[in-house]
Amino acid sequence: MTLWSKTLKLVTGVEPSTKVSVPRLRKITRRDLIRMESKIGSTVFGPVPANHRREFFCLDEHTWVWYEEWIDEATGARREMTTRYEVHPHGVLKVQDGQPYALVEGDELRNLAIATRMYREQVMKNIYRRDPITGQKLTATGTI
Amino acid sequence: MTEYSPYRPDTAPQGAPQQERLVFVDPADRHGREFHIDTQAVRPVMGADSPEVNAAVEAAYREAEQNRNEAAARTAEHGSTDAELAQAIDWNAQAIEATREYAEANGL
Repeated sequence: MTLWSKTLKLVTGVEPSTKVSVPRLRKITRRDLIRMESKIGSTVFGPVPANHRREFFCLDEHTWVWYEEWIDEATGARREMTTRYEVHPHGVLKVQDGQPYALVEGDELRNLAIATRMYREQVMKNIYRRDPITGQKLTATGTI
Repeated sequence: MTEYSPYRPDTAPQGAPQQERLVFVDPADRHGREFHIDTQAVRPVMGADSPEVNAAVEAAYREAEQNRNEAAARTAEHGSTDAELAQAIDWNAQAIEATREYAEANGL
């Protein structure tokens, strides 16, 4: 009997089971996946400034979300901004707290397109282990 | 009478909304389960887990990728239109969403 087992028996008064119980991993949820994706997403626009927290993720088939939280140096107050990009047939609409809908154009649209492509490539490879172009599962030696 | 399948746009009755979807079969999945990707590459795909389906899927992927590469080349030469950029952003979201749904159902 190991020291740990002896201690456990001393504390609980019960002979510890010799079987190793492996906790059943809970089913991965959509929220888990988005959280993992967002960690990668936070990097696609470049380094996050000090005192900032950033989330960038694909919410659903037609929506992207950018969340930024930071400390206002002047006031010390916490600030946050949520930007939702909705893809519609006639273009991409930007929705921000308290702001009217705006059509995303020019450099902003180009940067968003690049960011979503980087997101797809990195998330497919690093989380889903799939080739970002073909969708095929990646193996240790390449695609199958 | 031909049964209407949302995955077979050619069977849609007149006026029915057509879904442009691509059925992707993961070759690593022994059960031949499908996940679906909305795409511009419309393919009348039936069933799953057959060489014909896999060949059709691969062909559709190649075609979609070729379209994207051509669009990228046009962008490099002339600059992309806002509509093309919006379409690219949407395609990225759809690819992620389809993969996410598959992972949710089958694990990572």
